[in-house]
Amino acid sequence: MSRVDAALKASGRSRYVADFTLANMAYAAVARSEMAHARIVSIDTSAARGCPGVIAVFTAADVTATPYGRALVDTPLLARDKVRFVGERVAAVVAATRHEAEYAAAMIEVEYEPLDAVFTPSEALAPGAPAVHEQPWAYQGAAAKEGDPINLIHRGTHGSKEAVDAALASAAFVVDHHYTTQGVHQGYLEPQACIAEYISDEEVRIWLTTKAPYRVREMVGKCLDIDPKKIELEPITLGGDFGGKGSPQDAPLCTELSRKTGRPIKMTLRYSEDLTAANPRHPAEIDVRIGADEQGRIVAASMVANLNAGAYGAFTPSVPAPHGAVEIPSYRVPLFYSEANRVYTNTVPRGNMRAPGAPQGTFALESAMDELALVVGIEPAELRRRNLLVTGEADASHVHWIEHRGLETLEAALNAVVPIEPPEGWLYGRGISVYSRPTTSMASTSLRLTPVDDGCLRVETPLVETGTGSHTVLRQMLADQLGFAPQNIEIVGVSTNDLPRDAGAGASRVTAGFAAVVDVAAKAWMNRSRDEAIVVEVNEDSGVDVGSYTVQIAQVAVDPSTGQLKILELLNAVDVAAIINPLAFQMQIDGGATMGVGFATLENLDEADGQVWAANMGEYKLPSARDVPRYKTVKVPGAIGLGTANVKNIGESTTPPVAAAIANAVFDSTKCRIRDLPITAEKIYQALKGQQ
Amino acid sequence: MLISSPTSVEGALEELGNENTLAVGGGTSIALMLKNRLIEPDRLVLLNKVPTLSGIDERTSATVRIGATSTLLELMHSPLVNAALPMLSFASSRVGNPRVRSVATIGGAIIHGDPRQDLPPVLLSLGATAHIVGPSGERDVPLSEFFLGFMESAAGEDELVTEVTVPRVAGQRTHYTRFTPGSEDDYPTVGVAIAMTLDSEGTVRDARIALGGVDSTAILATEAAALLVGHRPSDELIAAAGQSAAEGANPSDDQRGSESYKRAMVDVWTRRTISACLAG
Repeated sequence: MSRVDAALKASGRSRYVADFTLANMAYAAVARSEMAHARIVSIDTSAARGCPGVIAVFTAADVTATPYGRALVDTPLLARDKVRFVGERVAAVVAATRHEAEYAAAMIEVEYEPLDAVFTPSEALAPGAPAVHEQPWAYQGAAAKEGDPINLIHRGTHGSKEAVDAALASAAFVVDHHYTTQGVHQGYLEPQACIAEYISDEEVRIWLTTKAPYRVREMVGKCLDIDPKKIELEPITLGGDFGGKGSPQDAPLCTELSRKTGRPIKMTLRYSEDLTAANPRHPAEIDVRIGADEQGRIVAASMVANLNAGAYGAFTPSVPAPHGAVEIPSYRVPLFYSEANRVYTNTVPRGNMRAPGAPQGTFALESAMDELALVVGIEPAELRRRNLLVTGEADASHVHWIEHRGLETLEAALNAVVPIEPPEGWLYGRGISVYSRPTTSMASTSLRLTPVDDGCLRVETPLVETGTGSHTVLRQMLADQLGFAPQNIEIVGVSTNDLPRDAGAGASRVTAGFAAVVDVAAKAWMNRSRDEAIVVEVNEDSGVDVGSYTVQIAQVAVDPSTGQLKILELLNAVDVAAIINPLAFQMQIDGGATMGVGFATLENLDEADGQVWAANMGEYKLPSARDVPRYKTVKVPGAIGLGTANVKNIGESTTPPVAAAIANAVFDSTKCRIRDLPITAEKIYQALKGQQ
Repeated sequence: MLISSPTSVEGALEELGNENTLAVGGGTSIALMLKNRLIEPDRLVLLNKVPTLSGIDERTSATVRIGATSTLLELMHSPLVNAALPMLSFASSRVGNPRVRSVATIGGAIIHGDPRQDLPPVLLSLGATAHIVGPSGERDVPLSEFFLGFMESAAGEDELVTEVTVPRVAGQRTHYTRFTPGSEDDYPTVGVAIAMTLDSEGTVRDARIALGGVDSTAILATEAAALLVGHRPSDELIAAAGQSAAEGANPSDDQRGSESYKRAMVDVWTRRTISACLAG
């Protein structure tokens, strides 16, 4: 079935936020910090004020002092007293054109007094480390308490460290290793952009590159002391999200600038700004300890992750422990200790990215599983076979899923893999990796169904189409359940004023959420009065945990003279229930795997000195079409899904296991264990050299 | 910013006499530098309307003349370049993507002087010469004397490269390797271009080895090439040439690799590229 938005996108007629212009609109640009950590001594805006086209110039003194944030409210509109990362907004210019605003912003002179900076969690947690925030406990929503390590935002633990330590001390086999992962950007094509039109406290309109409009209006309202219900987030087309477009971005600032100047304000980031000042994935330092008995059965495990949250913690994933970076969802672990520390550093603030925490944690855990197999002396697949959960068992965090299909998925993957010949002179290796995640639907969305002439249906949804094909899936589900031909259903995105709620696109639950609201809609449709529009909503605060397994097998070749890595094939075995749209489903499998390949082998913000290296997407490398390996998909059907539609998650399933599958395959081929991402040719080359 | 499109070399030179003015071939590099505000010229002079700057033909039976505004797409598809200089066609086909190749020019590739690009080492190894025209006359500069430093060339700001001439050598063996262990859509970590001729006994008569991405300009590994001349290269000799090329390189750390890794890769890929040439 073709996509709802295919023709518009293919012909370039989709209108993105950057394409909109309002009457009397002015443009904002910001001066950004060039220092990782410094006290602001003075800001000279006089030259900027004299530049052509400039309407007004703002510093922290001119805008609200109330910060914004999600769980933790710590992010200022403009840096106040000091800057905490390279790229932080220091001052804003409003001018008649974008060029004039950017030109004037470059004329702003800031005098800084440099301060010692911290760039990694280890540095930030070291005794005597410089404080990124002087009183982190004082922010609204802060989890940190006075007396905690100064840069600790949140420490989430699960289980007893003492009990695990004791069990590990007497285990027959133990592995204990340290893994590190780099910062990576979501890599959406459309940079963040915002238009804000403040008319009065009763009427504010915002066009924002966001997939979570209802959440954004709450945060903007709180920051600017405006009733969130008076803030209308307009429907938009999103040019990619991958988790990066859930924060309010520059909406609080643009709304404040509109309030101060009386004009609609537009701000579109240059991609260099998006790379240095948006909300990329957390770099992580993860310690994994696993103990097993003589047969390789896990007796205890510990995962401790220090996550680099950057200079502000407002949009680091706010879920309580166990965080995705320290989860062991697939294996039987009698004693489990997990600890996730989110830590302030003088680097770009972090946010969500496809399966937050899991790509980092799964790289560490699944690498450690292979390291354990080696010391136990059994095949990596056999180790997993002996430890995968079966239906009825609780996972390491005591969560019961409705069923576990890890073993079936593992066997399906092993049966489907066909060895591939490496190029002559190259080393060959194979690596396996397992990942599973629950979908709890916790549906929270709404729809309006309006019968229109000629037996057609107009369906309004507040859910933003992020580019995944979600509106197409919605149309298909409605067509199936209401008995319409899909082409007779029109899907229309609407504003936050038009419908009561939506939780935003995320957590692999869009299709599940739609399934729940479509069930409600189908019942309401049967019982409606003739030709009347109906509005339906769901707002669940709990749900069953339906788990979904992915088993990946990577086949790789390594050139021993250069360390060059070729992925010969990446096999994805996925545990599936009903599939609504096979093409969109496959796109999530392959797209997710490609994102994993980039994380595993290539992408790197490389901000060791606090400065993101790349200035554009030409320099910041994502896998291109030429870099994508051959994929093979094995679907393991028959799983229990959610709702009448019987659906499960897929969007975040194939990204997390890739790095370990490749690291394990590299080990299989070279006997070199790479514990630091990305796995580059040079790292393999150095490791091979170290063996000699 | 003023933009002009002169239709003759004289007209273009007149425009270039203005302050802070840049000549534009395909504009693929200049557009990026403008966007990133690395340059802020007052004037751009577009060269694509100057007919005498285009075209690819046989100057003599021993020389191929390539007009400065010839695009990489033209280099890919020109029967003459494919027959006489297949390495140049191949290297052109590996640059960027179709949109870039359809406008990027050979003149731009050398005048831009970016050592990471593919055409500078390829043209260096082929022994190409740039023809430069300026207010004070014209001259021929071999590419071995053309690249003066990072993005710095022998052509003055008020001068134009009008054409590149490349010797056509019967029986010449060539091979270009672009080593991209990260993304294939990236500049090479190391580029190695080799042109050599052998006599009927397999003895190397002439050889030029050029390296990209490992110094502030594309460079010739002259000593490495000299080791091969007069010999039927053994594995030991090839290894010595690789080592010599690596010692002569002056790479720096960046996203594509550390200084030491790049140096080691110059060794590996020089050896492999020599072997590829010898294998025909």
